[in-house]
Amino acid sequence: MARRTVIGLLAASMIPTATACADSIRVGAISNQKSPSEASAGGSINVSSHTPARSRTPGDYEGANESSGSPAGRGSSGEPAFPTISSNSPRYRNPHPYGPGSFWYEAEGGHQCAYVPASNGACFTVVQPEAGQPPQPLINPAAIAAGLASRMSLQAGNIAVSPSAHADGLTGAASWFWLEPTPASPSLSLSLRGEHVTVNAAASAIRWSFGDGASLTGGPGVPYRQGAAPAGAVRHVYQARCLPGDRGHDPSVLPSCGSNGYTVEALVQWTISYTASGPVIGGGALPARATSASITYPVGEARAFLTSAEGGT
Amino acid sequence: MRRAPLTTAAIVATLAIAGCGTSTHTTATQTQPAQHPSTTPGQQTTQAALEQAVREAVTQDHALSVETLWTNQVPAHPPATAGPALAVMRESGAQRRKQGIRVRTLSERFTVLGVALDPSYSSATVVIRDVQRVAPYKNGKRLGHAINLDERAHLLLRRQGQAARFVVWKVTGR
Repeated sequence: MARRTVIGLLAASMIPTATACADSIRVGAISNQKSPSEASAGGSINVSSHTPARSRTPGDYEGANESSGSPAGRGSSGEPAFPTISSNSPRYRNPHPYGPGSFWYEAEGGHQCAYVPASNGACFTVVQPEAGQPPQPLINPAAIAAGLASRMSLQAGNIAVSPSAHADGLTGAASWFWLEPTPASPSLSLSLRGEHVTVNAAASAIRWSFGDGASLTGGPGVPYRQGAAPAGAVRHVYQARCLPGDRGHDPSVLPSCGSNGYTVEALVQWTISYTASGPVIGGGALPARATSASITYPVGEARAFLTSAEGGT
Repeated sequence: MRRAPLTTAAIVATLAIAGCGTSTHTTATQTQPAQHPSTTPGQQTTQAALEQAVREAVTQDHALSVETLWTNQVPAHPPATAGPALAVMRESGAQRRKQGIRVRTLSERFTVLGVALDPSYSSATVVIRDVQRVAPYKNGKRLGHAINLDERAHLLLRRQGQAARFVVWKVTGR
C-alpha cells in the first residue's frame, strides 16, 4: 500500500472533520466510538493513503467525482486525494447509495466510503454546500446516453435457414429462417460526477425480406424442428426457383433472382432507451437504430412426372 | 527570531502526537522523562503504573468495541469505556441494528502508538492505530467482499478517582 505521510503544523487552528452521514454505518473498531464531530489544535499528522476502497470500482461504476475542484478533495500536496461529495447530494443522503446491500461507512480521516457488495466501492470527502456558491453545471443525462448509444455494438446475428443454403431451398415447401445467435439486449452504463446513466437496447422487430418480393415482420425466428411450427417461427414458401445460373437463362425466374440465389435479409430494429439516477433523475427513448444480416439462398424445384405402370413415359 | 520558539514547540507537539515521546508535550523538556530533574524513583513507579493502567483500559475498550461491532449490544456498565465514547458506541450499534448490519472482524493489528499521561495524573491521551479487515453481514448473511481499514485515533482517558484505573472517555480522529 502506498503511503505518504505529511506532517502539517497548524498552530492554534481548528480542523473540523467531515460531518458523518446520518445513516452512516460504523464498521471499524475505532470509528465505532469516535465522536462524529471533532476539532484539534496544535500539531497534527495528516496521513493520506491509497486504500483499496479508494480505487475506482469495477463494473458499472466508473467512479468519477461527485464534484471536483474542491480543496477538501485534495491532499496536502495538492494532489487529488478523494473525490468530494456534497452533504446534501441525493446519493449521500441515500442510506443505500449504490442499491440494496450498499451503505456508507466512515473511513480514516473522516472520509465517507460507500460499501458496495459487488465491487470495491468508493470513498469521498464530504463537503458542505456553500451559500452563494454558483451551482455546478448540470449534467445532461440524455447527451451522455446518446453518446453511449452511439458506441453500442448492436449485432443482428447470422441468418440460418432450413433447408440449408448448401442443400438449396425447394419451391412449394416451407423454408425456415432464424437468426443465430438471437439478438441480445445489450446494456451500457456510465457514471460521471455521481450521475449514473444506463442505456438499454432491445430488438423490437425484425423485418424479413425473402428476395422474391415477399416479406414479413416478426421475431428472430426459431430453428427448424419437425412437427407443427411453433409460434414465432419464420417460414416462407417460395413459388419460383432461383438457382445459380438461372438468371438470364431461365425466363421463368423472377427478376429479383440473383446470380447465386435469392437475397434474404433480416433487418433488426433496435429500440434504445436510457435511465439516469443521481443529481439528475430521468430517462426516455433515444433514436432507434437498425442493423441487418443477409444471405444468398438458392431455391430449386422438384418436378413430378406421371409414368405408366410399365415404366414408360 | 520570533518564529523559533513556536516552531520548536510545534515540532515537539507533532512528535508527541506521533508517539515519539512518552510524556506530555507542553514543553520541550517534558518530552524527555529520564532527564526530568524533579522526577523521583517513586514518581517514576507511579507513572509507570498509571501508564500500565491506561494501556489496560485501552485494551479493554478496544475489545469491547470489536465485540459490539458484531453484537451491536453494549453492556450497561462497561469497565473501561464511558462518556462520549460509550454514547457513540451505543449510537453506532443502534444504527447498525437499524439496518440489520453486523460487522465481523476478520483480522486486525491494533497498535498503541503513544501514551501521554497528563502531569496531573488525572487524564491521559493515547494515540492508536488499528489496521483491520472486516466483513459486514446483513440479516445473518455476509454481504460481499471484506473492507480494509486503517484507522488512527486519539483516545482521551479519565482517571477514576485516585485508583490506578482509567476509562476511555472520548475518541477523536486526529
